Amino acid sequence: MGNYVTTRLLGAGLVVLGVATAVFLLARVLPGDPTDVMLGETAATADREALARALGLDRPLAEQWLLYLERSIRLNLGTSLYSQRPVLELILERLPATLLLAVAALAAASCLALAFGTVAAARQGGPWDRGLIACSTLGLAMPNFWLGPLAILVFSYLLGWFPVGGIHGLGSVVLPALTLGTGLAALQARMVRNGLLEVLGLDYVRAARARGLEPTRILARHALPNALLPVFTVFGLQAGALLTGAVVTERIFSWPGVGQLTIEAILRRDYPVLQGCVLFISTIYVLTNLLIDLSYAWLDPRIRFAEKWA
Amino acid sequence: MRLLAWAIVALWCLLSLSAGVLPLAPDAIDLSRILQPPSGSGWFGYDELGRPLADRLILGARTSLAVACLVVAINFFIGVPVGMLSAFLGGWWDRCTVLLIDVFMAFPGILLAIAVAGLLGPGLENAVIALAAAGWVGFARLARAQTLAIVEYGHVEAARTLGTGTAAILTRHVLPLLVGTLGVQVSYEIAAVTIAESTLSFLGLGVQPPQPSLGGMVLEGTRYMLVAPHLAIAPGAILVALVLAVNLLGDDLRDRLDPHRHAGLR
Repeated sequence: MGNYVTTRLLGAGLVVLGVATAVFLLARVLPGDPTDVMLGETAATADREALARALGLDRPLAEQWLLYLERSIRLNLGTSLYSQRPVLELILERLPATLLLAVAALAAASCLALAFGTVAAARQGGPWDRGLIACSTLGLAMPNFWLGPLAILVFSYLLGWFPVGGIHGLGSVVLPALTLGTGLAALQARMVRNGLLEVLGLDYVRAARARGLEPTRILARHALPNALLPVFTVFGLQAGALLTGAVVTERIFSWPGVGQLTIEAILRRDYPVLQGCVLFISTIYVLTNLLIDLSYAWLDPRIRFAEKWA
Repeated sequence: MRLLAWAIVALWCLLSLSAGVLPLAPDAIDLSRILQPPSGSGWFGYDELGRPLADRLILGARTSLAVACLVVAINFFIGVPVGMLSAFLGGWWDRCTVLLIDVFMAFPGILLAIAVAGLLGPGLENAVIALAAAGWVGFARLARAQTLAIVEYGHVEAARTLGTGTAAILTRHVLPLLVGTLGVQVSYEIAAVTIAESTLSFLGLGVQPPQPSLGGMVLEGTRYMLVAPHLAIAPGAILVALVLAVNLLGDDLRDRLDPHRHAGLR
């Protein structure tokens, strides 16, 4: 186990280092001069050079890269060009809103998926099952940026149940969470269904049936726990969908989260904030996947042993 | 259902190819028809400047198709050779490629595309670059995984023993076995890129107005949600139909290529 954890930690560290390098290169290789953005294109050459020196832009690329890495490790993500505040502070300020949205979306998606996936698997081939497959195919093709406005139209404008945007009380999280959660629910429901169908065909379930146990009990206590293990692994990939989906969803609902901050940074050409957000979101994504891999190995002994003997 | 999917995709291609010949007037402003709902004279109604929505939808869908085909082609021709070579050569080359793939996969979803488009500035060309920068790893990963398995096959070993060169083995003995899987992947990627491009356009980073795009039209439509909901609903519905059709087409291809697959167990 120790070995496996070390390998995975090293791998994740290497990937985060690569991500930081990519974010650094992205801003340096792509056209556009940061001093242009900060001073305007009409600025005097002397001012521009002074600023470039202050920012360290006149040094060799390798040196700039090392400096960038050193600062990032110390969690110094630079200063916003727009508000002149530290980027990390801006991100941390917005983080609770994004976390709230992501957790609510994940919870909603999981509940929906568990309920519908189980019902569909229990009555395979029935109308519920076919309905679920149709709905999940539709849910996967539904872009967030369309679903959100539709939800606002129906539930805010026409029915008046929930606020249109922003955070005003508990009701305001419902529509963004459902918008963000629909794609996840569609995928998860299908995985719960397929996982259950696979497990339901195994010998121990047949044995339980032969012992005369109630079908509901077999489903809930015997089959479901084993069927959920693969669903859990996909959580890592879904964390990615949640994080980027949040960019779009937060934009639609004026949700004051990290995603909204990212878009604001793009619109204001506030490159340090954009870089900081991208680095922050990607690192969270890598860490989430690492945690899930590790806990999965802990849940399923076959993985840590396979790794050991490989 | 699958027949319908094929029909929708065929119609999409046909309308896109013939859009230059059709009498379309996407920029014709008619102030007497501002925000008019769908009717006999205009199938999808008119937008906030009185421009016919149907014409704009056709051109928007054409842009989506063109971008999707271009981006997927770029991703394919970068990703597949990289993945195949990586698996075939192995060693340090393979380890570096895997690390590179892992780094690119560490940007969740279209975040990398949003970042690249944001840094490059809005515009169609930049959106294509952004989507290609983020998308090639999918093909590279798939091609690598498949090639790793195929290289173990007897016929590849035989070709190696006979002294066949790397290029010949990869193109004549490995690639033909990859074509089916890659073909299925291409159709799923087209669906994914179509959504990604619309998302960029919705965020204001892709196609710029007045050029019509499905994502941009949803954005413009949301401003008139209460008075003219058709403005936002129509482009989104078309987008969903197209993506759904391409996905179903991919499922169909996959099932046809895999005779063992049980039709009911997807």
